[in-house]
Amino acid sequence: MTSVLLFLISIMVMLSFLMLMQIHVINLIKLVIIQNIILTSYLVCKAWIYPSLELQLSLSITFIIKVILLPWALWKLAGYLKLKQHTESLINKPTLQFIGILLVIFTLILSHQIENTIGQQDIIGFSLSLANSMLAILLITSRRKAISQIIGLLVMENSIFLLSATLNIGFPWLVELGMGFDILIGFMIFGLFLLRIHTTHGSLHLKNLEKLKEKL
Amino acid sequence: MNPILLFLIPSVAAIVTLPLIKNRRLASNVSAFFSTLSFLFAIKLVMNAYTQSEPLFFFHQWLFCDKLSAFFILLNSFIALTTSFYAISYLNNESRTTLYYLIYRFYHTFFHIFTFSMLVVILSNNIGLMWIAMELATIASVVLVALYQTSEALEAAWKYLILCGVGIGLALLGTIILYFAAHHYLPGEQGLLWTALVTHAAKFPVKLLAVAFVFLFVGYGTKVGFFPLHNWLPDAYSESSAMVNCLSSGALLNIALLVILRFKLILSHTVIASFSSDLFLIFGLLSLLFAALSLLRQRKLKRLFAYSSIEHMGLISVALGIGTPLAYLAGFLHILMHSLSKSAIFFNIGSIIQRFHTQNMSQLKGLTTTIPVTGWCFLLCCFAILGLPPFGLFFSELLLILATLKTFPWLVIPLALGLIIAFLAIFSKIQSIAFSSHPTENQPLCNTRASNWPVMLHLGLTVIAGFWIPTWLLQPVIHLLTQGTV
Repeated sequence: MTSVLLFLISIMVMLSFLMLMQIHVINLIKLVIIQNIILTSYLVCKAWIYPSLELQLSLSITFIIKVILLPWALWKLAGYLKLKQHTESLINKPTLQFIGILLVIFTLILSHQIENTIGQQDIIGFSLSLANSMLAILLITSRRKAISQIIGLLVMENSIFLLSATLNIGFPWLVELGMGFDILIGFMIFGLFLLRIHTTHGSLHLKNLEKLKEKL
Repeated sequence: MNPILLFLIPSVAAIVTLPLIKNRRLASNVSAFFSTLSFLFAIKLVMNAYTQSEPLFFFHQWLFCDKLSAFFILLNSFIALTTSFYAISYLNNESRTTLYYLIYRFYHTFFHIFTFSMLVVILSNNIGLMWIAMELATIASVVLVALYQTSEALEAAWKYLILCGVGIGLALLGTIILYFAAHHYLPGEQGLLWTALVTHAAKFPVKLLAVAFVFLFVGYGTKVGFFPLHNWLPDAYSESSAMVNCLSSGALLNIALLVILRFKLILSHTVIASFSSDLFLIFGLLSLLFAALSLLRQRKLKRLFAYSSIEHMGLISVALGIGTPLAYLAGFLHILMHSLSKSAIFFNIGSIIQRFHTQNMSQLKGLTTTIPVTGWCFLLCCFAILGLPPFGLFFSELLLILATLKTFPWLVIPLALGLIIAFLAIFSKIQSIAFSSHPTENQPLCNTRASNWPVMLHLGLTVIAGFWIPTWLLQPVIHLLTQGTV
C-alpha cells in the first residue's frame, strides 16, 4: 500500500510538471482538477491504512471542497470568461523545465538533511510535497495570465494538504475545516477579481495591470 | 463572562449588523459605536491580563491573552477606534458616485471583518487558528484595497492577493512542519497550542524546527513587508483609502511581526535560538536600507510613507533580533510610537487627497498656508515619524542605537546610515509640501473637526510618550519576552 501512496504523490508532481508546460488555459484547469482527484484518492488510501476520525473528516472536507465545489466553480468561471480557446505563450520551455528539476533536486537534498528526524517512510512523501509547492511557486511566477496564477495557488494548496496528510495524518478537524473554508472564500474573491479584470480590460493578461510599476 | 469572549462580541455584532444598515450616516456612527465598545472591553481585558500572573484562556485554550497579546490588543483597538471616528468625516466627504451605496456597506462590513480577524490572530493560542485568522485578514484587506474598483486599485489588490497568497501558503507549510516536529511529545491538538509548544520546545528536533521557522518567517514576513517580499505594500497603500492605510500600517504589519515573534520565542528554548535572531537582524537591516534608498525616488505621498513603514518594520526587526531587554524596550516603544504616528500621517494624507484630488508631491504646495490646521498637523506628524524630539520615536531610536552599541557595535553603521538616508529623503520632500510661495488651490471639506481630533490625539500621545515613556505598559511585555515563557 505504501508504494501506491508514493505512486499517487509522484503522479501529483508529474501533473505539476505538465502544468508548467501547458499553453492552453483549459488544459491547465483540467490538470488541476485531475490533481485534486488524485489528492483525494491519496487521502482515501491513507484513511484505509490508518483508520482515524480525523483523517476521515479531513477526507470529507477535501472531497467536498476539492472534488466538488472548486472544480465546479472553475469550470463555470472558464465558461463565463470564455477561456476554452485561450492560449498563453511561454518563453523558453526547456529552461522552465530545468528550473523545475533543480527545485525538485533542492527539496530532495533538503529532506536528506532531516531524514533522521522524519523517518524513512515519510521522507519521500515529504520531499515530493515540498517539491510540488516549489513547482507551484514557479508556475505562479512564470505566468502572465491571471487565471494561471490562481491555478498555481490551487496547486500550492494541494501540496499543503498533501504535506499535512503525509506527515501528520491530518490536522485536528476544526482547524482543517477553517482552512478549507478560507480557501473557498479566497477562491471566490479570486473569481470576483477575474470577472472584474475581464470587464475592465477585456482580457486576463497581466500586462494590463502594470500602471503602478515604478519607473527608475 | 470570559473577558476574551466579551471583548470579541462587539466586533461580531458589527459584522452582523452593518450589512443591514442602509443609511450612510447611521452606518458610520454604528461602526464607531462598536469600535468604542470594543476599545472599552479591551481596557478591561488588558487590565485583567496585566494584573494576573497566568494568561487568560478561552475556548479549549485555543484563545488566550497574555501580556504580549494584551499590549497589541490595546494598540489595535485604539487604532480601530480612532480610524472608525475619522471615517465618519472621510466618508461624508467622498463622492457618492465613487462610493456608491453597495460599496459603502461593503466597506463597513469588511472593515470590521479585518479588525476582528486581526484581534483573533493576536489572541490565538492555536497556531492553526492563527493561520486561519491571518488568511481571513488578508482576504478582508484585499477587498478593502480594491474597494474603489479603479484599474490601479485592481492591480494593487491583485498583486497583494497573489504575493500574500504565496506567503500565507508558505506559512501554512511551516505550521505543518512545526506540528509534525512536536507530535511525538504533544499528541493531537496539544501540538498546535503555542503555550504547549513553547514549554516543550527544547525536546523537538532542531533541524525540523529550523526548516519550519524559515517557512514561517518567509511566509508571515511577506505580510510584514520585509525586503524582498515587500512588492505588494507600496501599491496596496497607494490605492487604498486612508482608513485602510491606517489599519495596515498601524495594526496589520505589527500583527504579522507578533506572529513571527511568537515562533521566535519557541526557538529561544532550543540550541538554534541565535538562528531566529540572525534572520530578524538580516531581514531587518536589508529592509531598512532598501526602504531608505527607495524613499529617495518616490513622487507620491502614500508611496513615500509606505516605504517609510517598511523602514520602520526593519528597525523593529533589528531590535527584536538583538533580543536584550533594552532592545526589546526600544522595539516595543517603536511599535507603539510608529503605529500612532503613521496612522496620524495617513489620516492627514486622506484629508489632503480629498482636498487636492492628487497625491503627487510636485502638485502639493504650501499646505500650511492654504489649510493651516491639516498642514501643520501633517508637518508635525512628519517630524514625529522622522524621530525628532520631543516625539516618542526619537527615544525609541535612541534606545535602539544604545542597545546595538552594547551588543553588536558594528551594526550601528548600517543602522545609522539607513536612518540618515530615510531622514534626508522624507525631510527634503515635505518642505515644499508644507511651505511654498505658490500654494495650490484646494476644495474645502465639511466636518473637518471630526477628522482632525484623531490626528491631534495620536500626536499628543506621541509627545507624552516622548516625555514619559510608558514603562507600565512595556515592562511586563519585556519581562515576558526575556523570560521566554508564558
